[in-house]
Amino acid sequence: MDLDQKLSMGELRVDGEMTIYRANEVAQTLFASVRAHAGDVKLDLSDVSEFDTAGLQLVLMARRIVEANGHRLDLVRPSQCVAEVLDLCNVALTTDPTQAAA
Amino acid sequence: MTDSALPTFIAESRELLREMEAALLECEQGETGAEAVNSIFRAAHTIKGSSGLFGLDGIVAFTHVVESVLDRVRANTLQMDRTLAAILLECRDHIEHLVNAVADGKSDDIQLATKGEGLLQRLTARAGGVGSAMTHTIATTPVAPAAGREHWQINVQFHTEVLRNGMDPLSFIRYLGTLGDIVALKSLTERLPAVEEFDAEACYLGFEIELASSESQERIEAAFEFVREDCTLQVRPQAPAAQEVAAEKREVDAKESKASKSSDSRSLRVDGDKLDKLIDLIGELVTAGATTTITARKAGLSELNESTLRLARLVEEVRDQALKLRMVQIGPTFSRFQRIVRDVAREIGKEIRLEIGGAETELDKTLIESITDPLTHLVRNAIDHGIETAEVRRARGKNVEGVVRLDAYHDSGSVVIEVADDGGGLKRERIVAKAIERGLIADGSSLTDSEAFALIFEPGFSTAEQVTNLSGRGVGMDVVKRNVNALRGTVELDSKEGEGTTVRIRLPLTLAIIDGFLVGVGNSSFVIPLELVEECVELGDEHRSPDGDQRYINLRGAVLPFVRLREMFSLRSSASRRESIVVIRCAGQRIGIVVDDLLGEMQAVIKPLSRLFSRIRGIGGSTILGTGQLALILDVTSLLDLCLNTRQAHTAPRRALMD
Repeated sequence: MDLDQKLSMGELRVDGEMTIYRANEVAQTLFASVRAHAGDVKLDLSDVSEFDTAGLQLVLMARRIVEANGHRLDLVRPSQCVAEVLDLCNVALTTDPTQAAA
Repeated sequence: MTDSALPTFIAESRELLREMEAALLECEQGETGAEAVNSIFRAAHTIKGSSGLFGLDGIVAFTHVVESVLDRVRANTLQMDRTLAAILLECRDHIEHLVNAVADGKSDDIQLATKGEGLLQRLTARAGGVGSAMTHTIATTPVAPAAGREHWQINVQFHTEVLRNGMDPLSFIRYLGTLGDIVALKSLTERLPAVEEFDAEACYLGFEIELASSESQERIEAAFEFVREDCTLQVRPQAPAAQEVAAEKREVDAKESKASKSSDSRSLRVDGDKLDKLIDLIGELVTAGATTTITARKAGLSELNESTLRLARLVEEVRDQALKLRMVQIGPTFSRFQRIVRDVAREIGKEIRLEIGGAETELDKTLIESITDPLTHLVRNAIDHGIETAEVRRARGKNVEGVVRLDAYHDSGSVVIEVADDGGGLKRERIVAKAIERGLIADGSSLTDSEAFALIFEPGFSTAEQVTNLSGRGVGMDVVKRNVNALRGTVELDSKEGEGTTVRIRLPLTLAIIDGFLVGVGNSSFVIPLELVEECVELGDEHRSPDGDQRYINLRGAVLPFVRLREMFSLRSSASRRESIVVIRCAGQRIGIVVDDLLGEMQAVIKPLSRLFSRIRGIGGSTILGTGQLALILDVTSLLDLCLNTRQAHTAPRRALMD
């Protein structure tokens, strides 16, 4: 229930905690889904209840994986706790086009 | 982590919990400072971390929630107030119960777990959801505009283990936001490895932050205090290149901060028994040293004499240092009373504040342990019976909030601990009346205030009946006195009706070794604690009446009562041709002790007397002299008591007969 994979429409959703306590588990599923998917990815974070540094790293890693394939990873509907962290760390919701090209 | 480390974990946790309690009580009184919040956070955090190492999941889970709430308080997204502090205090108690359960070896107590859940629910309800309610307060934190603010360039790389160590780097960034305005922030992600090497529990992030803040560099660096060892931190003022060199020096890398941290808390846990053994050995050393000094003096070799003197001085220093090892500050003991005062006052519906003074006063650890019970008794007494109810206080025009004050200070070789209240005070007439009724004093005897108040320490005053009659004072006061006396201390009491009462406990600095003044009577030797000795004078011939009738001399115009040790202890030897008086001062009174010989200063290692002699008054212990001879250590307080009482009870009748 925590990690919904809606591969259709290129959209993934992570639910529940994205913290150090579940980092390994989420990493495995998230990275596998991201890799399995060709094309741009939208990561739905609307149901993430807790988000810490480990969670942030997961998102950044996922973005890197997608970008390595020349696509982009956008974060959509971040929940309040996610938005707060992204805001604090100046992490953009959408892939910077210049970076995606690189 | 092996189980052998468990006792250390428990001891440390208890210590942290005590700190946490003190800080929480501070917060509850509405004095929420960053220091207090930090200290609460540190305690919760450390306990969580260490319990994780021992696999104590129950404690980790509970403390995690508490820590999260505290983290938000630290980041200013949650306001610390009385209610929150009160709930946190209960959480603290729960953690203590959990730790105690571990100590007792029954870590999975269902009842405890249920209680914990209930507490957490209340906490979350109060704090409005854990973790999820991170509002944007940081961005909008009102910070005083630019005046005097500097721009700081902060570069911080968190080490890989930081997450596993239970830290969330983000919380430090948030905290930084409370110190000023984060003007710019860049997440540094260069250290993120390839996917195959990515470890989800490792930290790869760093931050480059521009902070506008009026705080000092130290304060900004201190924001990362909890991760000093887990990060590489660089804080430098954003300034022209000229300052760059100086800034470079200020660079704080992990190694340096590690060193500074260890100097902060450079303490060592030592088994108490080892310390006692050391003190014992030093005691023997002192005795052996004294023997050597005497032998050397007899041998008459000046070189030997010189070296023994040097040795003696060193031994003395070693002794002092060793005794200092046992000295601990009384502050933590005092702080524990915050809780007692809070709880008891709440229970009986009075508003009472505890003030603490002289928390840094040091005294022997054993003393602190033994003094806690009597102190508790006195504090409870002050709350229960000393401080009036709110209505009475209002009627008397006093502040409704009563004050109990604990104070400690050093005073001529002893430690004084005071328990004071601003309550109703003692009613002198009623005490005297009761004492007469009880046959403790004769009717019509004139007593000074302190003598009258001292009566409540008499055993006769501790029955239940008196509790009501004397508005409660005197309950178990005899026990307090007995306990204090057993520590070679004294208790005295000051009181003004309507204004309050102060109980003063006077204790020796240490229990093991004293600086003594050696005197001789006949063939016996006695030691008088040196700090009590004021002067020595020769006893003039005119005072040497053979029947020992006269018991005072005129010392430079003042009356000085004296006792003859020869009589006190019925020594069967005739008085020598020359006698001396050692003038001692104790508890504000002066008295002379008549002896044959003055033998000089010495260090006396106190050996307790066997139980057989425990009832003998006037003797506090014994010591072995360098010659191997035994000397008795005078317990001046009880001696004073004894001879002052004897004077009243016996001398007067005797004189009446002679007249």
